[in-house]
Amino acid sequence: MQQITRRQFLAFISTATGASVLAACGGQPATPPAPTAAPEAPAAPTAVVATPVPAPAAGTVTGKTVWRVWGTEAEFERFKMLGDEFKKQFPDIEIDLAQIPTAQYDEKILSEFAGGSPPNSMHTGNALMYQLALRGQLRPMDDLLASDSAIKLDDFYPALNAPANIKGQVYGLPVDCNPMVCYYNADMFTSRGMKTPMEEYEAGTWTWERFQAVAADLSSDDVKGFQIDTWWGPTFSWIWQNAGEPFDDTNQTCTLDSAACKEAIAFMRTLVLDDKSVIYNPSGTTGALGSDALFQSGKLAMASFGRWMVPSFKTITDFKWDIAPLPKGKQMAAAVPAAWQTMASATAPENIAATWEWVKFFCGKEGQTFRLSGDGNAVPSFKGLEDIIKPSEGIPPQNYRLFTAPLAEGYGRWQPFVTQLDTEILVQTTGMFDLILNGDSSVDDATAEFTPKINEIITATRKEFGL
Amino acid sequence: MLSRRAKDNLVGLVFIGPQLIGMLAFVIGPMVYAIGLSLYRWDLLSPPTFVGLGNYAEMIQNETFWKVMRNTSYYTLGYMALNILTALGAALALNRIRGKVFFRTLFFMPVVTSAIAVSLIWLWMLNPQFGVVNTFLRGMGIAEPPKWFSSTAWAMPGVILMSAWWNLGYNMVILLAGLQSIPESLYEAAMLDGASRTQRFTHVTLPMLTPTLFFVVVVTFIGSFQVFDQIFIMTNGGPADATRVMVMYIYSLGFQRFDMGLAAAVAMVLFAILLVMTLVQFRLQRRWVFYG
Repeated sequence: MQQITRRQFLAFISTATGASVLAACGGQPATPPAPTAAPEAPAAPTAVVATPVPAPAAGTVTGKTVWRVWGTEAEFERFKMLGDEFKKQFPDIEIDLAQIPTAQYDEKILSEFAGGSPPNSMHTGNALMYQLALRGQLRPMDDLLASDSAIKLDDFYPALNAPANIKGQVYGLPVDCNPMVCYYNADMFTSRGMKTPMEEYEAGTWTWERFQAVAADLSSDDVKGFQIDTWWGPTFSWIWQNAGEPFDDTNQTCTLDSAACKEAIAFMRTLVLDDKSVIYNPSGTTGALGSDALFQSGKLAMASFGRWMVPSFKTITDFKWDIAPLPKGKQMAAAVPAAWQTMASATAPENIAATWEWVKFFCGKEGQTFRLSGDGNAVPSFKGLEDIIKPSEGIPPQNYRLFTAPLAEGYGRWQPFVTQLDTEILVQTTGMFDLILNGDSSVDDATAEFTPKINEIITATRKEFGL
Repeated sequence: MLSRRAKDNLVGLVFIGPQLIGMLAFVIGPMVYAIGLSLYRWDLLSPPTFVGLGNYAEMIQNETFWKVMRNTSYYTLGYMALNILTALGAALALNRIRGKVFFRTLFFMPVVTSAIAVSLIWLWMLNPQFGVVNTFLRGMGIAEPPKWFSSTAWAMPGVILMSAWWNLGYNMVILLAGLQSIPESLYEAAMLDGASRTQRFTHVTLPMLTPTLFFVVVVTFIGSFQVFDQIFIMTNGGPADATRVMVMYIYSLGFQRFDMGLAAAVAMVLFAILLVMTLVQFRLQRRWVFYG
């Protein structure tokens, strides 16, 4: 294989286009010229040698920062207000802020990087952060953190710092997070004289067995006890609760065919196919089939989400609801989806200080308090801010502290590192859950079929990234 | 001095110039770019690497590629049959009734409705537990109605059903126009000859409608092989890849797996299939299309 530069590649394409058009006019087949060859180099990320930046005093930093974020219109308004707050402290920093619809976010960001004009800093989910960092497109923040006493990694929950540590370097600061909990329709429980999940939890009886019994008691033709959405958060939570690991801790092997994983998946299958008290939402289908719509319309007694459903569920007037931890299996466990602020390696030296101030402000105590208080849809990643998400008296969820419990008590789990390397790994994983939960395949057959397939992808991807 | 003929050619070129430039820039150019791209391995961020036909070799060895080919063919066959037959039925029913304009508008309304709105409504309608379709089927005595988008066997029929309904109006309007262009005198002559209603349909209507049907078949085939929106919204290719189709595969290869070369190679195969099948249809039309 031969590697060429971007310029040579574009020259080849231009020549090929011209040749083809000319050939079309002349009726001759177009033969693109062979590109100039160069020996292939391993696809190692281009390391960024960062210049230490001394911590500046507020108001002394100048420069510009281009920032990208996803979200709704309402969130964007809040971000703009946050930008105004920032400007009060740093009047000489110009923020070029653009919001991108969530559905097109990764493509747009990717296009900006490919076009050679990436933003200086941006929101990223796990997968995009890994893909960009491993290709040398992100700027490590270690030097900035080391030289700035205003913010440190210890300010954040350790579980959220770990995913941003890629090949021993820090590529992002956690923006916020969304530990998953069990939402429940309190009226359904109280009207039947049953203890709510929170009461069960306080009594120490909120276990898988109790969950199974409760789901069965509440299930009927019109209402189901729970819905399992087959993305990694809900499905891996069950596995972790059973002390299983979908991927080994060296991130080299898929272990969905291990005894603990299979036992957890078999339990989920029993709930869906045997008990028929729990339904499942296949990978891909969201919206109308999602647990949010069913819970809101009173069709589900329980559902699992992070805090992101609170703003929508606040409008529910037909029934009372609240939250409890996910039920305990062999141990407590809950998935913690999160987002990070990253910095592009292409950031011009004169804009690094301005960008760092913005990232720090956004992820720091002040920024998180501003963004997440009241009607915010996420949980602070900054330690000690648990009470900013407290709702007014009588407004659900009154058990709001449970949102931070997975982080504070150490049972929160993030998306396994290896699944960030290739989206196909999660596509295959959720496809396996689809087959098992709709009864098309047994647990043994499906795990035996999919585990080697996923391992093949992992091996190929690790090789590509030189891991 | 330019000759008169050269002047005419120049004037002609000036007239078609804007269109030609647009076509070169936005159709021919990207197409050739994609052909070149399919010979490279490129993640958009690192320098491209020339791999020759390596992407094509990788593609044909890839199990997922064959799966999406099968899914796309399944969708195309199912959708074309259902859509064209129902559109023809609706066009025939509307051809000779009062209030034609009203019904034509009514049938065409879903075509101009956004994919998101239509898809979400169908997701609710086909919800296995609480949807109106399964509630109706249970009422009819079917204890275990299809699980639709939750089932690998029923997800694609669900997508076909929704798509056929959504686009029914488009083909219906074209077929209705075709029906109305058939001269009334042909029917009068057939009736004078004692032709029954069925004979009038098979010997007058169908032959005279074949040019319109040919157009509908070609356009529907091309459109159905490029299906994306409704599947992206309703199933995102699931469950277990049961509805993953070619354009969705191209999208995921390019923008989720950062493999633009392989995505371009699959796009080239899609282009080749559409080109060959369209040429075949033009060839075969001589046997069944009547331009009398």
